[in-house]
Amino acid sequence: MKDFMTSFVEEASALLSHLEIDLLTLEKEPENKEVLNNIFRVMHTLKGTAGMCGFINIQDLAHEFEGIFDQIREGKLVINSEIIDFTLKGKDVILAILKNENSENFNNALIESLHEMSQVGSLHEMNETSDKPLKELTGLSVFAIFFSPDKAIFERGLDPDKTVAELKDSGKSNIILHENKQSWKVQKTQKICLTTWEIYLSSTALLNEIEENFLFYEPDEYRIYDISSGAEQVPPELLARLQKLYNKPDVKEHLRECLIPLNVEASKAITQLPENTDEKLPEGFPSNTSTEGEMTINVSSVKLDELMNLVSELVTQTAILEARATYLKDPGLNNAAENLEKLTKRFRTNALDLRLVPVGALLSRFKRQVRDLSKKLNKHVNFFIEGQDIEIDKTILKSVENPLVHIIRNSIDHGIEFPEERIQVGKKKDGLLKISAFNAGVIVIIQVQDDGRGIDLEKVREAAIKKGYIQQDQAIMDNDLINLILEPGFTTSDNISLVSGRGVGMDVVRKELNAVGGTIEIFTEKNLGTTITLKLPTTLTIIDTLMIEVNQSIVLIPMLDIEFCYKEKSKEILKRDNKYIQYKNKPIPFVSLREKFRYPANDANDIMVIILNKFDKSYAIIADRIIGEYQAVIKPLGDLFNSQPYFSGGSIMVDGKLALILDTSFLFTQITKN
Amino acid sequence: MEETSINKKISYINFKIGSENFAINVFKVLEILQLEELTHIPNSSDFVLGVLNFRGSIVPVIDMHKRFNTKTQADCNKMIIIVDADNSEKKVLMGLFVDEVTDVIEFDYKSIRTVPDLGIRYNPEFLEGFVENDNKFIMVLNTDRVLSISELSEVSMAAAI
Repeated sequence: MKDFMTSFVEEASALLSHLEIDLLTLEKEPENKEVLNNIFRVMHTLKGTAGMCGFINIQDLAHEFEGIFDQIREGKLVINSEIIDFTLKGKDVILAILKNENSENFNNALIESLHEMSQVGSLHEMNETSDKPLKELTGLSVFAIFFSPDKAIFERGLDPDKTVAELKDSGKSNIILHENKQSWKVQKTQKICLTTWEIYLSSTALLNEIEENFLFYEPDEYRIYDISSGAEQVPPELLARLQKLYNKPDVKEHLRECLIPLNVEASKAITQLPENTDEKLPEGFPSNTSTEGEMTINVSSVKLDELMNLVSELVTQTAILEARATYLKDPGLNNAAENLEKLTKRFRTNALDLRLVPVGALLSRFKRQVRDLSKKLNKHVNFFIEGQDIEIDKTILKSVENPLVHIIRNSIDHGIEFPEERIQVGKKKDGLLKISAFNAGVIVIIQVQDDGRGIDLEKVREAAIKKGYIQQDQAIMDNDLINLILEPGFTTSDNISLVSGRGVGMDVVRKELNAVGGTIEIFTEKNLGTTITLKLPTTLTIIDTLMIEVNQSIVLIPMLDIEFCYKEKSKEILKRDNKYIQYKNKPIPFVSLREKFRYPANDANDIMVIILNKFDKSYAIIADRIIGEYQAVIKPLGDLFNSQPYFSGGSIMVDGKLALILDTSFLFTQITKN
Repeated sequence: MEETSINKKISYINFKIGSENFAINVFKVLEILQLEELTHIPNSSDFVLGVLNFRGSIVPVIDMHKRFNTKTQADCNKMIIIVDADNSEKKVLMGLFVDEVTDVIEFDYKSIRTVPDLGIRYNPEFLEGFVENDNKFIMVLNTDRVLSISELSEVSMAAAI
């Protein structure tokens, strides 16, 4: 029973998150019948399963919503933002109930107001007769049916001819036969079906009665559209096709009488089907706009980590086997070892892939936030999301959620102006907010752009002077100035608004990003807007590194941070009092790793200088020698080493030995502090 | 219930730290390895000898001699016992650097006697007690206590920086 409950909660949560997306889509496209049906279906499913699991509250709530959306489907209620608001709230309440939060009172109040709404529903009836669905005017429905049975339909004991004949009997019809390569008659004798039927039928039958004719066919073998219940529900592709077929501008009007003569040319034109037999429906036919995602399963991260462990162990063992095979010079063994290595590499890539999720899963959740927030602040915001398919490690994606919430809040609250203000400065009334994600080499970039008023650098300067970050009259680059807002406790406004600026600022954003190895950059231009760029590693578990040696132990440095390396012939610099070297005509601080790790000084004359770049500043580290590049699978060092700050993790090398990964951020803060 | 099920004997791994005999419950032990080359972690706690790769995980190796305030013996077969230190739900693997693993012994849990506070040069809390076996005193390890992470990871920040 408990399992049943958990699976219900999980399932319901998933349904609800889909519901939210659907509601927001519906608000934008009120005529989208598909989405409307989805919402209705979700409510219906919720009602049923909630009742079964004893969530009576949810059952009641879903029941009310089901009623409302049924009325909308029937055209008795018109979608407005009030309904969307209510439903979104209802969704939150259901979620709260699922999470066992106390929401009893809210819930009852909501049910009551919902009830009222469905009562007054009838008052919302549409007043213009011309908009009344055709069905009501004529008592006839018109259907467009695309029927494309499987090639081997005869083997399933079905005869498409009979099905079509039954359809014909139920009303008046126009049927276009799209024969493919061979005529239907020939196909029939060969027991192959390559034909598609395009049927326009006017009938007193209801949609589900027509659907019954296709009871034995697979869902992808036929599509039925009720095109009589108001042309706005007809997919645009289909409408275009109808106009072409019937050669009348106002198809809707004529379809009622069903069925004016077809435009023979047009129907012929499409009869020339493309050669491709996979694609049975000719181009221009409405495609199935199902929004169902790929099938996914939830796996605990512990299991994934275990898998990663095993994979890296396999990589190590494969390398050992390969070395042995090379040593033995046995061609058969060599071959086998090589094949195993290839396979192992693929296996590793695959296993790493498992941790990646598309960023869209997170980004689309902000739609709701943007909508609610802009409404609350009386601002008009057009919100766009780009690059939803870009994949990133789930842990990293999770850690950018809060930073993004904060950044978006700032953009809407401080960045985007009120409509009147925007018009005054010659901008469009609706502000623009865009989140885009894209890949750049080994990193993923998430950018938040707005076309608001930008960050006021003068104000930042004032505040910086007040807080003592800079001196009065101190010359400072705009870039450095703007980075000051990432400092702890920095704020330009004295009064804290309700929406943003609750004491936690951009410094928290930076901290959270740094924790997963990400960085933040701000670019702003007065009156043109602000762009905030987050640079994130694609994965936490694998990084490209430079392998160096210090006192015979291997240290790995994330490649991302490395700017330049060179060999220094003399160790003179180590003896200097000031720990600075010249790089690009600028003095930069350096640190010797031997010194830092308390290893004895070495005898060799050559030392390697590695210039690192962190947060747009350079510093150098000194090592014994550079070994090469290495793609490291990062492993945690474990709780025991939490208090040592120099290494962020370790990695197992091909020979089974361990290497340590240098924490470049910590070293940076330490060097710059001194 | 039968008498025997209560008096059930448990197997213990018997090993040496310095000259003294110790025992650890066999259920805690995953593997016993020869002492191999370890990776040293700079600026880590004195108790930590280094880390090794055990079945794809990074496992710290604890110098038990430091923990029990003694020195390693010259002529012995140095070993690492990999144990699951099992702190609540989390699986925590650690290696114990010991002088020699001698054998597996069996005894009744009830025969473990408390250690007197006096006369030993280490924290008596590190032990569950001792047993007499074959005319030897064998100290039974309290792994939770002796492998406490908060204690082992203690490095003064001054030393780290």
